Amino acid sequence: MKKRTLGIAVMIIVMSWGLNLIFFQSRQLSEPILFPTYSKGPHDIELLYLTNKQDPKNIDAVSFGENRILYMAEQNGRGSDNQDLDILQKFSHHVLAKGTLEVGKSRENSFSYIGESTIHLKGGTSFASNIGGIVNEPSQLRGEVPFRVQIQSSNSHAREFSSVIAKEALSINGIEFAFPSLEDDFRIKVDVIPASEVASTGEEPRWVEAEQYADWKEVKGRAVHNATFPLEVEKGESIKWVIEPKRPLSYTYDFPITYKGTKANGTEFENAFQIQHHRIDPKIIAKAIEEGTS
Amino acid sequence: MKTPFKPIGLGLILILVNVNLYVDLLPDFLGYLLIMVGVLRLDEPSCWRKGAVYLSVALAGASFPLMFPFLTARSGVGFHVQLDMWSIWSSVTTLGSLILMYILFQMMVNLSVSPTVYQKAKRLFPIYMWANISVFVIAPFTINLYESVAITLLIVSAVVRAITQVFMIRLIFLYHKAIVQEVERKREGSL
Repeated sequence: MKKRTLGIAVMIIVMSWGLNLIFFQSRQLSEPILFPTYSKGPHDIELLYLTNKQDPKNIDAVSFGENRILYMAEQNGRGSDNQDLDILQKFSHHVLAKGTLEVGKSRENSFSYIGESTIHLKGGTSFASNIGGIVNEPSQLRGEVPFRVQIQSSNSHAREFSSVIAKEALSINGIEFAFPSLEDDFRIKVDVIPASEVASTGEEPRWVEAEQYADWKEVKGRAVHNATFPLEVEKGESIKWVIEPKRPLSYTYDFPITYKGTKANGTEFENAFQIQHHRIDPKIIAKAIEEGTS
Repeated sequence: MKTPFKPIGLGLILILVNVNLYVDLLPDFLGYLLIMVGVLRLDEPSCWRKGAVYLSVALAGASFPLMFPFLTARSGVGFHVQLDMWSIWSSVTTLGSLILMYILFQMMVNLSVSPTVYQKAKRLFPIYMWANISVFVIAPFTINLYESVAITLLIVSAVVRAITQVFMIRLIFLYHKAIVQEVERKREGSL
């Protein structure tokens, strides 16, 4: 091998390092990307965020307004080093990490917060980000529930099923989202199944398997809109709710959908089913990375 | 008998093998100093000898801090090429050692030893250089690749480097043996 050939080879090596380092730097996030979450209920709040793989950041706490701060649970890295990140997915330059905000200490003081919050990172830095919506309060459903729960489940594509059996004749007058602004992001179908077709308690209704991954058009029931209500239900009949996002969402959620109704004796009641999804579609993640690094 | 190639071979073994217990018990800087000792014993008046001495001294100095493994300890998530100052420093010294190997090869093929050993050196020279150059060109790509691909590349690179290094060490000791045999033959002839 000639001296000149070696010189060219060394130049190629240096160029390879230089160009790869430049590309690597261009892919780094200046701060983690937090995916908003909409959460209502007296439970801890799960946060998903993207951070650099080479120099990952742990979220330590989130402050809402001026006088409320929630800390991350110990097992999600608070007070420990970066290796303890709860990693859900690895990408070429980033990781999708999960953290749990502890609301346990705040249970006595209900609060709600929507919009921009301050995210505190381990090490002292902080940045502002849209947290989504947090409502921390115990369940406030009115009246005795005239149902028994038959099934409450979901599939990996965020399709949720809820089925309850009426203990008496009643009518359902409408539904209410915990976060009304999200209503347009979801589609809902409701169906009343005659008592003769209702599976006995403990058995999974036959429609669950058939509709688990079926096309939305094939899911039996009426699309929920104002004209659907009131919905008359006889004793022993089952009410089936199927709900799913219309498109992949850029936020996670864990909140109840409440339906209100009237019993045959005229008393009013409320019941709710919790919908939750703690995943973000890979395409949304890829888009977030592109926006965060551009 | 003091031959130039024994310390060079031992030096290469020190550079190849790491025994990390808070400090590297077989430090690279000692390896480079041994190479320097060997090169100084070589009766080779060319500029290669001077270059090899300067470069091995520089590499000994540069690799001295690297005997403390905590400086290049892994950080971040998962398996990937480290990009902290000391890890880059370590890569630069390894690139320096590739140039040193090039000079050693040049000196070896210039030496008149047995034709068999000379032929082996001639054959190994381009293979060693191109294999290691390829490894050096590919290595930085691992910082921008998915972990599974990066791990595969890094393992293949490490194996290629280790194999070529072992062949280089074997060649050095073949040179040592050839020189010893030649000296003994001369001694027997003079008797």
